Amino acid sequence: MPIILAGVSHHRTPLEVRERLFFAPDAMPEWLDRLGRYNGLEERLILSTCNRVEVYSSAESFEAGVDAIRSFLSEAREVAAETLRRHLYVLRDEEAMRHLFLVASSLDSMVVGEPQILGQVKEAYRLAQENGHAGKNLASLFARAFQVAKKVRERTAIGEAPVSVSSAAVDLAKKIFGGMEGRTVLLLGAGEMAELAARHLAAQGASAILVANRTLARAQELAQALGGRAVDYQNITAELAAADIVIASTGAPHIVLDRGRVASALELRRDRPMFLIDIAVPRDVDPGVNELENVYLYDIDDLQSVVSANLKGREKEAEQGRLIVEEELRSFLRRRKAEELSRTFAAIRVQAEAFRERELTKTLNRLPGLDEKERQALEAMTRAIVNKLLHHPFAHLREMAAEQADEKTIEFVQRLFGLEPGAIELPPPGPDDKA
Amino acid sequence: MIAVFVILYLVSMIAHLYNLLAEGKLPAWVGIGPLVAGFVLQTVMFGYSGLTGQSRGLGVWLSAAAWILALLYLVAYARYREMALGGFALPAIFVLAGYSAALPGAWGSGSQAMQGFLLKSHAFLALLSAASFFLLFAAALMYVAQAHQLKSRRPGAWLRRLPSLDVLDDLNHKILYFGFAFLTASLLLGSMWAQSEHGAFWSLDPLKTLPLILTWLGYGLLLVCRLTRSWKGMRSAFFSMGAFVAVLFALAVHL
Repeated sequence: MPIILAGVSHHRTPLEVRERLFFAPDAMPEWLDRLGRYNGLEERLILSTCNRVEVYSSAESFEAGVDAIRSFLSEAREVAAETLRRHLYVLRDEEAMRHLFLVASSLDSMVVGEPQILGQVKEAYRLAQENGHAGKNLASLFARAFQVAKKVRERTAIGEAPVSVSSAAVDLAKKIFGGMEGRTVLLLGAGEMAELAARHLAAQGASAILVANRTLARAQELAQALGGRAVDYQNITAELAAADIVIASTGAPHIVLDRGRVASALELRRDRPMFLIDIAVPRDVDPGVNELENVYLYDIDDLQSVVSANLKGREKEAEQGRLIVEEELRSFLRRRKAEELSRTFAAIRVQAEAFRERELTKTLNRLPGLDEKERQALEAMTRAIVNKLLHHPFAHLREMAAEQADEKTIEFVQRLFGLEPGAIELPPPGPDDKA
Repeated sequence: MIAVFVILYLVSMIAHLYNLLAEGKLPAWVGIGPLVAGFVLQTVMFGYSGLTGQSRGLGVWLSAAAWILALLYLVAYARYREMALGGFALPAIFVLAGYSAALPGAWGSGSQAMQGFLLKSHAFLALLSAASFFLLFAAALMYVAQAHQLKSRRPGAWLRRLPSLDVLDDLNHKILYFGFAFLTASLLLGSMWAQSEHGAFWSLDPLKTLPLILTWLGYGLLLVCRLTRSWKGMRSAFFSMGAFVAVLFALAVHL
């Protein structure tokens, strides 16, 4: 049964189109139900995030399935068929599986390695599964996708280095101070980015947050929001000495912290290191401060260069991640093929057994004079014929399956034995049919 | 039997170096597991050879040094969960253990028997302190490297591989305590032995005694400064690296 993926993503489709196709998560059960009313889709799942809208499905026929998804998207979201034709990518089986593995592993994300996407994929699967839209095909596919994502995260450093300015600052702070517990943060100026960084630090356990701003009211307001304390902007010598981390973001047109002030604060700190983050433009902290021992000064350019280096690093890790995805995809396809083959064997056996019993009963009815021993001999003979006939093709197919048999081969075998391709559900694979 | 723990140390060393130098992402057990196994095996071997009275000669002391380093690193790992220190400790452990295993008659009877409880404890504690100071040196080196990374404002891959400055400084502090205590105890036992053997607390050979005094004074001074003047960070790191030269000197004249 083909797996179908149809969707749009940030790679090729502008936001104007993506936002029109966006499905709000609260209404997802209804959307799935609606999609279910289109004929031809066996299973269905909608992954809808700000960067992508994708429908995963399994269907009897690939073409009919794609048509159903197209009609659904165009009718449900009122998008012209022409627009869909231009933007929608449609992938099948192996391609679709690879795409899902890449998406779940955050290798297809706008910021490669960002951690949210796996949660979003899991949530999409949960919604489809709980509402009865995901059957065993999607179940095994998505279970594998989650495993692959975990493996990529564990085996590569893809999500490790931070890629935003404020999280890069927090990361550096951790490399200086270890944990944030018991650390004091001083905000000079109450800019938005300073607030963001301070929130990060507070979330990591920074114990005291001091806010100094030229207008006291704003300092108090921000201090309250951060659970900190406002201090006098004109007189921060004591606070500066107490601060492990200083985030400067004043609008002042000149240097606010000169070398002398920092040096005297260091004197009081007795060699304890100090991390100065200057995100103001023009700068608040004299660049010469970085020459002082045990002081680490980063301005906005420094942080941005850390971020871009980290992004480059992620690209490198992503290559590693893609290799893992390929490896996993091959193993998943092998397993699927083996399972399909087992099911085919089992179905052929069931069919052969049915023929054998029918013909045997007919024959026995025509020969009423046989005693028990003769009946058993006939029974054994028919069984032996069936087994001998099936033995060689099965053995050969198993060998082929290990190497090159694709879906076409399996379909061919099914036709050869008069089974309807893709429609084999019964029975579960028998113990001797393990490929 | 001897070769087995050397090989385990080798495996552990490769895992540690891979993670430290090649940005590997091996889970900790790959490095720590073989180390623990090798350590246990070596402990059993020491117990066995000690009971049968086979342990003599230089090989045994080198082997003991490897064992002590492994012990100290495992303790530090249990406390800090940082594999970076192992990137320094394991090569030393492997070289010491491997060299001692290669020495002829290392586990047989040797002529240079260390006699007496006093002398043995003196030498054992001296090894403990030397191993501590080696780890102190490694922690200090990592501190300087990490501080340099941070100071450069364009940190590279080492930023991620090395522990935080806070951990390294704390490590520096703790190892200094232990190393200095071991050294002091070792010197006391050594002079007690000299007293019982030669009738004097201190042999007058300046070549042998001077490096010891320098080592003790150096680390003592560092300890005092850390405690009273709260020396931290770079200053302390550079000082511990410098003091290690005295340790090397002392080891050279005593082995």
